[in-house]
Amino acid sequence: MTRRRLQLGESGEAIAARALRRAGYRILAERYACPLGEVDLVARDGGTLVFVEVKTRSSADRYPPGEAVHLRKQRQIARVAEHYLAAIGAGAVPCRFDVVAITLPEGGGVPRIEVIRDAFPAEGIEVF
Amino acid sequence: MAGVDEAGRGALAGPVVAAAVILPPGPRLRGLADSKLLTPAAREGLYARIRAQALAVGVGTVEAAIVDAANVLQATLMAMAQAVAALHARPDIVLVDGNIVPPLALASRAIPHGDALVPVISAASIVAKVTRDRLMADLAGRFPAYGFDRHKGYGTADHQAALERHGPSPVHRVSFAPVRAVVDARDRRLQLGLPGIAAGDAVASTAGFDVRCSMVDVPVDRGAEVGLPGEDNTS
Repeated sequence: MTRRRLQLGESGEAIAARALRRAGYRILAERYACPLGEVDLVARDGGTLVFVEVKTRSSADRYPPGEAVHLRKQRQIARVAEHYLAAIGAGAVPCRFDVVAITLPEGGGVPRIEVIRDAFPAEGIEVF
Repeated sequence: MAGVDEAGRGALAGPVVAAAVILPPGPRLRGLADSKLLTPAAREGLYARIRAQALAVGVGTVEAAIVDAANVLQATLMAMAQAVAALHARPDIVLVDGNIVPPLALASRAIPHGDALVPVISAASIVAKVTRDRLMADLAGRFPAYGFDRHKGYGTADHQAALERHGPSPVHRVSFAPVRAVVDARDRRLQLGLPGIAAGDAVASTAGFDVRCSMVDVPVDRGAEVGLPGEDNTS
C-alpha cells in the first residue's frame, strides 16, 4: 500500500465511524485485528452486530468504492467476524456485513459517504 | 532479590499483567511502602523512578482469551513466570505477593500482603499497575464503547451498564460470572426471538432488527480450524 493510499484509508475510517454514529450505530471496535486478519469497524445497529469494511477512493479512481470488496476479501472479513463472535462468547448473534463507501472529490471538498447495508451476505460464505 | 506482583486479576476485561523488579541495594526509592495508597500521579512518578533505577524489570502479559481458556489463577501464574523470565538479571530469590508462587527454576517465596510490606514487591506492583493501565487506555481506543480508560476493565456500574447494552467485546473475560450472565441473557433473548445484543434500548433494537440479517452459528472450538496456512491474511 502506498503512503497516499494508507493516509486515505485512515482518514476514511474516522469519516465512516462518524457517519455510522450519525446513522444510529454504536461503534464497538476499531480496526479489530486477529490472526485471521483485520476488520475496519465493528458496530451495533440495534440488536444486530455489524462488521464494516471501509472503502475510500478519490473520484479519479475508475470504479466506485462499493464494488471494491472482492469475494476473497469478503471471505477474509467473514473469518475475522467468526473470530470476533467466538471471542465474545456468541453462540448465535444476528449479524450483517456493511460497506461504507467514501469518495473523496479531486482537489478536496466534502467527501461523498454511502452506507451500504448488507453489502454481502453472511450465508453465502463458505466458512460458515 | 526480585519482587513480583500482578495487576488485573479481578477485572472483567483485559489482560492480567505481572511485573518482576530487581532494585539496587540501598534505600534509594522513597514512597514505595504501601502502593495501594498511591494516587495515579504518585504511581506514575514512582514508575518512572523505578524504571530509571531498577537493575532489571520484566513484564508478563496474559490476554483475556487465555484467562478464559485456563483460569485466572493459572493465567496470573503464567504472567508472573513470564515477568521473571523477562528479567535481564538472575535473582537469587523471587519474592511473590500473595500466597502462591509460579513454577520457577529459582528459589521463591510467597509473601501475603507483600505489596505493602516489602519495597521490591511494592515496586513490582507499581510497574504492573501502571503497565496495565496503559494497556487498558490503548484498549479504550480500540473498543470505544466500554470506557476501559476510566474503569480499567473492573466491574464498575458504568462498565456493567455498557456490557448489558452492547454485549461483551473480544477482550472481555466471558468465563467471569458478570460477563457470562450478559452472554446467557442474550442467548435467552435470542431463543425467544428477540434481538440479541441490546438490552434497554427497545426502540433502536426493533428498528435495527433487520429481517435480512443472517444468523451465524459459531462453534466455539472452531478457532484452530479456520487459520489455514497460505491464506492471505493481510488487509
